Amino acid sequence: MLNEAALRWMNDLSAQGIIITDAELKVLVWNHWLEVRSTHLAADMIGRGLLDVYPELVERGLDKYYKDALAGQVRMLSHRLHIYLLPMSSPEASTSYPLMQQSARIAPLIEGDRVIGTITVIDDVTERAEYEDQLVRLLARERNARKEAETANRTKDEFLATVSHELRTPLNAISGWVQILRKKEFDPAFIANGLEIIERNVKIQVKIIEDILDVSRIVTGKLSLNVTTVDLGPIIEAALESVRLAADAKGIKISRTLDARAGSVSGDPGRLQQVIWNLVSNAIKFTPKGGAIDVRLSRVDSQAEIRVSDNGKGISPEFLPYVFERFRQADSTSARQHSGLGLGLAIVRHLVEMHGGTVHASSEGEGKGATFIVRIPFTAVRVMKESSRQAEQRKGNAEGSQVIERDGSPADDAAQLSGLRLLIVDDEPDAREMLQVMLGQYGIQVKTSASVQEALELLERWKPDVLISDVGMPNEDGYALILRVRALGHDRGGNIPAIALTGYSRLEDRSQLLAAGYQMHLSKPVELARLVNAIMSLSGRAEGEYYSSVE
Amino acid sequence: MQLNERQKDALTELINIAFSRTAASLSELTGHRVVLDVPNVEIYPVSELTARLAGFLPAELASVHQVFTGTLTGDALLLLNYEGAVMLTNLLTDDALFSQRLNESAREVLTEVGNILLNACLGVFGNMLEVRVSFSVPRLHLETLGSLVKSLIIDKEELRYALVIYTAFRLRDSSISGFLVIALSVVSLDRLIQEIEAWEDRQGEYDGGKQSN
Amino acid sequence: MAKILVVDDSGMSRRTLRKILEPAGHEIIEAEEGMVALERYTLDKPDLVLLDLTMTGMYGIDVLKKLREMDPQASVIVASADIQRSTLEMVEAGGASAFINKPFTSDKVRSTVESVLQGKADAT
Repeated sequence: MLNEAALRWMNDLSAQGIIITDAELKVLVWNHWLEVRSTHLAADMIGRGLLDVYPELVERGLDKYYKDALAGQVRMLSHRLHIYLLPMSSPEASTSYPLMQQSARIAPLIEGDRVIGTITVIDDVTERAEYEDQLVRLLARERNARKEAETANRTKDEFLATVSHELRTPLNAISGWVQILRKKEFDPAFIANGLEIIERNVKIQVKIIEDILDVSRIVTGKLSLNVTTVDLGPIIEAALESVRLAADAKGIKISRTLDARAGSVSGDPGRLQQVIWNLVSNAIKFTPKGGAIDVRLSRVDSQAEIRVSDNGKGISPEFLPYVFERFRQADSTSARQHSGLGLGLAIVRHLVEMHGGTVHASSEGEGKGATFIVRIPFTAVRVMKESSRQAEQRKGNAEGSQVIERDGSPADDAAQLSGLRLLIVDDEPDAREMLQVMLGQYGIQVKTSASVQEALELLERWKPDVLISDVGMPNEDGYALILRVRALGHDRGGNIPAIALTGYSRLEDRSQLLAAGYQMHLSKPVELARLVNAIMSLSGRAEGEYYSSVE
Repeated sequence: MQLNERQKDALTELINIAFSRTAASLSELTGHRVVLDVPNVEIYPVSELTARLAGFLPAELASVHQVFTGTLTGDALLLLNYEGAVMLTNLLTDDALFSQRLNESAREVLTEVGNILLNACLGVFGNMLEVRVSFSVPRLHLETLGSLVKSLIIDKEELRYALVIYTAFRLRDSSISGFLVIALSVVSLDRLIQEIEAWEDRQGEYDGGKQSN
Repeated sequence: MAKILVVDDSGMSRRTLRKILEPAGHEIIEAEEGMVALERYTLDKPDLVLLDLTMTGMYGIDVLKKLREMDPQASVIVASADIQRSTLEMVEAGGASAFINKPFTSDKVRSTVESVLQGKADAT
């Protein structure tokens, strides 16, 4: 009676799969759990050999487990090692495990001192397996996050240690010399030398503090640009002048090639000079005595490109991806050869990006020099007059050429603009018509679109040389247009030079438009002459002339 | 009580065979090459076990325990320290992520490994020697060495000895050391040694006596 | 008939092999570990080496490689309880002439020894 009750329980109620076989491995019991989850009913299984119904058990070597059981051993199967004993699909739609994960035990059935059969118990552990996987993944993610935080902390700690060291070094020199000069009277030459040393170290400290402040401003979003039209040539010259002493001290030769056509950009002259100064100082710092640095200003597509290359230490491939990161220095040990905070390049990147530009570094490896390339989009230039100061600067410039005095005669311009293709995008029909008429007289081929969608459709079959777009349009505006155009990529005309026309003219909007992808920005109502200049400048239709800027 | 040179050699040889079979099983299961180091066999009174092994097995242990009965009666155990157990299960299960604790699945794997090893040893005894043994269900325990040993001594009056075999699992460029412990009553140990000597004598005979695989 | 060097750290194994092979007329030299085996090989110049794989000290596989380095004609039969395929591959790659499973059966040992010696004789 007890046996019957037990058997019935095992068959109907058990939450596990139960198989009982005789000593020949013929199935005697195949319980309800198994009927539901496997493809076999008890009626189909009872009396048949287990290994006959599941020949794959033999292929997998699991028949040996049954033989062991018949020899009196208990065998365990863990799901991580075997996955399952008998193949079944997961009852609930399991995401990671389409097959039911099973643990099993195979044991002998013993009567007296004989083994009369085997009993197999199967557990469905799919859910447990999934939970465990999730937990392990979670813990791993946590560990990684912690590691990253620790690295970031460590980097900051190293940085602070470096700052402390860098500030202390000039301070030592300053305080030391002050003491010397106080204690004794020396000849004027000695005093002058001491004062020079003090002054130099003061400047070093000032620079360090300014760099830190800049980074702080950048991080809190408080760094702002005083935007105007900037002529890159003189800026580069000024930066090079300020490093001349340092370069001469190391016997480093600096060569420069400044393309007159790589004209004006929209930006903050002081900050741009800071960018170039940083790049050139770095080059000097990392180039040994007698080395060479080359600075090149040129025009690439509709951007100004400044290239600073040196034949110095170079950058290892492991460090190259991190070269513009704050606090990162290739060598932050106390035996560092080069002083400095490691902020310069991070500041350079921020400033360049605020100008809507990009900066890249490349190097063939250690000892093979490095090249830094800054690209900044152009802006409208062509101006009526230039200041005398700039004229003088240009005279000193090897590549100086004529001043162009423009009288804005349509006839001259027409010759140069004839056949130019122009796309105008504006939702207002009056505005479209006006521009079409105005520009048509220059022989420009004008097509118009009333919306971003229309413009994109047109661009699929017609490639203009310049794009002019109103910014404030309903639905999709000028920002959306330029983003979608630029996303087309070079081959599909995504790099068309573009001018934005807006009723707003705040500085922030200007830099946002440039950042979005426009090369220039003009405010409405637009002066025809300015527009024509802009078109000519962007389309590259005015060759070989030196552009000057005016406030 | 001590084993003489010949007895040690013979026992070592038998355990070596068992370990090779264990390694082969694990290798088949995981696809990795597995080697269990050549065992070094010692005998200690069970009462000295804690003292002898404490140096190698600090604090938390993972142990798989099977009781055997028949011609020989006693306890067979695989002992690993906790970190070793975690590492062994990680290495055997090819998971992309390595866990740092023994979750339930890992404990299952460990139990199976112990099961395979202990069965192989007792199986070798059963096959090579004229002994009949049957085994209990394997159980995993996580506890200290002290409490584990206490749980072995069923009858505190009985004098028992333990065969202690120090070994290491080698796989995937890592090595995890552990102990195989076979605790027997004096009577069972005497019988075992007798059978081992008989087996040794049989070696090399024409047909070698019982040499089933 | 042949001079056989038996290398095994188990005294029992060495005794067993002696028991199996001496009656067949072979001369048995024993070495307990790797370095000694290499010495004996140089001094006694046996026709055949029976080498256990799992030894403490110098691993069997290293002894095998060293023997073959010293004498590319060396005939080495490797014995082991380890039956994994990777082991067999390693042993073959190391230059062994044959592989015998432990525990030894007298028949297998004798016949393997005979066939390796025969192969050697045929080669010369």
